[in-house]
Amino acid sequence: MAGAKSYPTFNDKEWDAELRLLFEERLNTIHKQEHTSASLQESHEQIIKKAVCLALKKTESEWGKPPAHFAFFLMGSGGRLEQSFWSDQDHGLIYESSNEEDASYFLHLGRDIVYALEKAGYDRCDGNVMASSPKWCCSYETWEEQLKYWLREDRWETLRYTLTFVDARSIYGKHELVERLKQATFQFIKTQPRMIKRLTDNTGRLKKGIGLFNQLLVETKGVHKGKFDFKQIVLFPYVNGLRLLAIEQQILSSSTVDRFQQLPNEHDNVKKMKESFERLLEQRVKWQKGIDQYEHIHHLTIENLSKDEQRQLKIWVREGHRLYQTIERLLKG
Amino acid sequence: MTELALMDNLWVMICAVLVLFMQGGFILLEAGSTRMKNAGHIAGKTIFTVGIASLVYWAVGWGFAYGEGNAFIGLSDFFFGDFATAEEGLVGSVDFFFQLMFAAIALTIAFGGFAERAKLSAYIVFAVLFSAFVYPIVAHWIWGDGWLADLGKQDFAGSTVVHLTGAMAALAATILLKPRLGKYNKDGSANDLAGHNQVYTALGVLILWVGWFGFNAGSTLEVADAFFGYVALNTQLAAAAGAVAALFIAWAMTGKSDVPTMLNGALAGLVAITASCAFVAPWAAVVIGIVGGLIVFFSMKFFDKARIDDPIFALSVHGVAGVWGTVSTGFFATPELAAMNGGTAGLFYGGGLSQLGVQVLSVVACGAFAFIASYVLLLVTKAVCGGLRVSEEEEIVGLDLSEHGSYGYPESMPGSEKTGA
Repeated sequence: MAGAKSYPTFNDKEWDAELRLLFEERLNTIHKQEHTSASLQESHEQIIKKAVCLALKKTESEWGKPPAHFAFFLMGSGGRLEQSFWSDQDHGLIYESSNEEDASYFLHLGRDIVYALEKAGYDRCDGNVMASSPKWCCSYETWEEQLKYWLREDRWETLRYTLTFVDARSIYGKHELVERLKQATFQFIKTQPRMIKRLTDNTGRLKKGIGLFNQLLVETKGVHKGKFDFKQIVLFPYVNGLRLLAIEQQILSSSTVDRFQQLPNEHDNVKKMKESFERLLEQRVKWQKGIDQYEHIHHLTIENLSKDEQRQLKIWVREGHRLYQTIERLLKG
Repeated sequence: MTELALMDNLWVMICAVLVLFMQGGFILLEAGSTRMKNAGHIAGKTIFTVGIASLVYWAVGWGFAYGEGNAFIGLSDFFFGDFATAEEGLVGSVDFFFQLMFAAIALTIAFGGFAERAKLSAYIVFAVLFSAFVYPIVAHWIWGDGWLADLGKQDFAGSTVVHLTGAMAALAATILLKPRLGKYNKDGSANDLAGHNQVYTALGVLILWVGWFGFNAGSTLEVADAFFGYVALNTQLAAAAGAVAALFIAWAMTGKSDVPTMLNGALAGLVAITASCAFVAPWAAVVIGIVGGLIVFFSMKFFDKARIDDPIFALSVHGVAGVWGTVSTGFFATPELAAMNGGTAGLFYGGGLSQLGVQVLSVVACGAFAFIASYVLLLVTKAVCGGLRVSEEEEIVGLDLSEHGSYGYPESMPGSEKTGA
């Protein structure tokens, strides 16, 4: 980078060597071992944290210590503790400063984190939901304003950004910042009763998974032609439904399983599906083992599933869709 | 000439123009179903191949089809020029004009198998050979004094003569040409090379649908008793049923109400009813259309899986639906309508297996002849043209540029923004 000072403590060569080692470690701990869904999350967490530490070391070697407290958080499947073997990057950063120079520091840190994670095998996010983007790397005050703006703006994209943020989970730094921001957001939503309806609309399109003849529906076009879109059809109705209930109930946890757990007993009809969802996550780990590219991780080859597995998959499709519709009715009145 | 005969001639003349207008439907259908870089080519080739078909059919085609000869081929009336009038029925030139339009349609269907990869010279040579030696022979067998006409074969407007014959030539072509670049992956899975304009395709289908009233209702060849109205009714019902059935089956099987499949369903209904429109009850026309719409969906999947690249679905729409349409009269022909229009009643009306047998035999014989003859003539074409297919590079840049020197959509093509400044 032009103008950047290079300290002997962590030069580019060392940095790349460390990242290569990290990728090796990723292969060993994630891809060459048997996993449960929980152990898979732990392994990802370790790799991601190490990548963040390395990125911080790199930024510190050039720009010095962080000028303010900050929290680095994951969103998407990482935030929800639902990562598969491969996943892309969805993350952001909050810092306690409104100084412009500090903003540059953290954006730089964000860029180093993106680079490190990419080298560790996490694809860049197509939608640029990453701490290297000014939209996802802001001071606490800016974040608060931005979230209110997103909600008031009430467009499809801005509401989608808000829902993305709700899955935030701090993994490095001052975790409290993320929690405070979430609380403030939940409070703001509470003051505008129609907002929860708008958020419900935002994720209301359920992708059909079962055809008229009780057959599993596969993609008819594109690179995944012939494959079953597991993420959109099976996973998302549960994830999106529980996120909406979490907003309504002001549950700070970002994992879908924890959200199930923390729902009050009045939502018993939803809570009782927790075990089924946990089994779903476990089964997904089995099905997706061996898929070697992020691009293909969310699409299943139906022919590889046994009759029983296909039957179970259909049960989950129906249950998830029913669950989302129940939640939708509940929130939209 | 009696007033009735004059009206007959006028009716058939109008219908011939309607059938010619179906070429406009094919232009939009084919251009819409293929990619932008080939749009000008695919639209333009339809015009000049209609030109070739007209010249060749005039010179020898009509003679082979309707001249005096034997059970297999006609051998007189070449270079048609009969200006004699007739007291009753059609005058020769009106009859010729109407029949010529059918020959041109069969050729356009055949070229469905050429789409997006055949050389321009291959189009020219094969247009001559097909219009002379393939279509007229089948027309002679069924509509002339041929052996299938003698057996009482029912093919009112040409499910076999026009559609199956064209589709078999398309099959031979698509097998010899091999799939388009990028259609299949190394593991054998198919990619969707989507057409560039569904609006064109839909409009093309509607124009074909309108023209089909010339095709089917005009095949009454007379206005007496206004039987053409009944034929039109059956045609409309089958097309409607085909569209609805195809939309339904696509939705039921894939979860998506695919537009191209629905459009092909309408066409399959039309192709299927073409043989049977004068022989069946309206409810049967609906059933024939529904079955046409359903089989076209499965047929499209089948050819895709079988690694037979059929860019405009000619094999499914004209071939498979053409076979079904021809065989359908063997089931559904009513005794009254068969008595009026030829042949005997179908299986469901106590006609036993005899008419069904004739229909199946004709499909097999005509299908086999059209396929083998086309295959051989395509090998001749290949030898004459030094290959049937354009080079890989030409296929990538598109036939608009490689075969004609200019794009159908010049502003939308790569590099078109360069101004030379």
